[in-house]
Amino acid sequence: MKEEDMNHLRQQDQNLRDALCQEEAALPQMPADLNARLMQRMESDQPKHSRTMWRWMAVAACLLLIIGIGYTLLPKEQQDEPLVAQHETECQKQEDMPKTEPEPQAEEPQQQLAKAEVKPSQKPVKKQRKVVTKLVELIPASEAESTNMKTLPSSVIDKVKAYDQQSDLSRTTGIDDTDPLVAMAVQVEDIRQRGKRLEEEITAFMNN
Amino acid sequence: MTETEVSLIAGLQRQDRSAQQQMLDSYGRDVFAQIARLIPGIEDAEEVYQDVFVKVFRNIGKYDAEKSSLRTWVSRIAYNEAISFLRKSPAAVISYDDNGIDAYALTDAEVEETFGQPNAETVQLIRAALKHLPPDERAIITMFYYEEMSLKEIAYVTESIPTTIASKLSRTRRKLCRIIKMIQS
Repeated sequence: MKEEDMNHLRQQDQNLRDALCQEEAALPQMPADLNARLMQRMESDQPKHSRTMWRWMAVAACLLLIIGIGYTLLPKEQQDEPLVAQHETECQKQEDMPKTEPEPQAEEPQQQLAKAEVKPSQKPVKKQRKVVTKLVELIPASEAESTNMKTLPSSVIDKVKAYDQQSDLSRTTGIDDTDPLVAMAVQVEDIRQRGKRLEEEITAFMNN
Repeated sequence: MTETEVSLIAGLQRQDRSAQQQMLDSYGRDVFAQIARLIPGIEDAEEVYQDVFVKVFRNIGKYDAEKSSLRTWVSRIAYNEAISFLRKSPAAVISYDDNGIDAYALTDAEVEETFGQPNAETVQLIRAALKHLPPDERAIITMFYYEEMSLKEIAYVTESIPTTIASKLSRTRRKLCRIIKMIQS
C-alpha cells in the first residue's frame, strides 16, 4: 500500500482515531517527580562510575606489576629450571633403581679395560706425516666378557659401551672375520705397501 | 533541525545538566505515554522511562541527525526498551491470535464501515478490542493514527521497512474489526 493511500486511510478511520484519543486520555499520568528522581539517579550513577573506573585502574596496575616482576624473574627461572629438573630426574632414577651396595672389586675390570696394554710394533708406520711407533692392542670382546664383567654392579651399567664383534656378513656366512688384531694388521700392511709403492714411484720419477 | 535542537544536542553531548533537564521537559511526557501504552504497570513504566533517558544521555554521541529527528531517535530507544522489558517480564501478555480463523471473515466494506462511520458505541468497542492486540501492533496503530507519524518514521522506530509497516497496519486494522465482531457476538 502506498503512503498516500495510508494517509487517506488515516483520515477515513475516524472511529479508530477517536478510540485512540480516549485511550491516551485514560493512560496514567506521568509522576511529577519522575524527572527529579531520574536526575538524582544520574548524579548517583556518576560516582559509581568513577569508583568502577578506579577499581579497573587498580586491577590494571596490579597486572602490570605482576607482568613486570615476572619479566625480570623469567630469565633466572629459565636458567634454574633445567638444573632442578635434572636433580629431580636423578633423584627419581636413584629411587627407581634397585639399591645395591657398591663393590670396589667391580671397579678393577673397568680400570683394566681403560689401561689397554701397549705393545711395540715391529716397524714404524708413517701415517699423515706422523711416525707411529706403538700400536694399541685392543682386548677382544670375548675376553672382556669374562667373569670380571659379570661381577659389575648395576650402577655402572650405563658406563659400559658394548660393541658387536661380528659383522652382518660374518653373521650370515658364519665365518669369523672380526678379530680386531687381524683386521688392524691387514690395514697396517696395506698402508705400508701403499707407502712403499709411492716411494718407488717418486724415486723413479726423480731418476727420470 | 531548529537552532534550539542544535544547542540542545550540543549540551547533551557535553553531558550538561541543564540540557538534560531541558530534554526531559520537552520529550519526557511523550516518552512516558509511549511506554505506558506498552507496559501496563506504572512502576514498571517509570523504571523503563528512567532506563530510556539514561541510555539517551549516555549514547547521545551516536545520534545521527541525518537519519532521523531527535524525537524519533528517542522514540526508537523507548520502543526498544519497552519491548525488551515485556520480553523479559514473567507476566505473559494475552493477545488475540487470528491465525487460521475464518469464522469472522470480513469484506473491505465492512471494515471501512466499522472504522469510518462515526459511532460512539463502535468507539468503545474499538477501545476494548485494542486491549487484545499484542503490544507491538498496538504501538504501530497508535504511532500511525494518534501520533500521526509517517510510515518511514514508524519503520525507523520499530527497525523495519515502510512497506512492512503498511501491510502490518492493514492486517491489524482487519484484526481489530474481527475482534469487535467477536465481542459483539
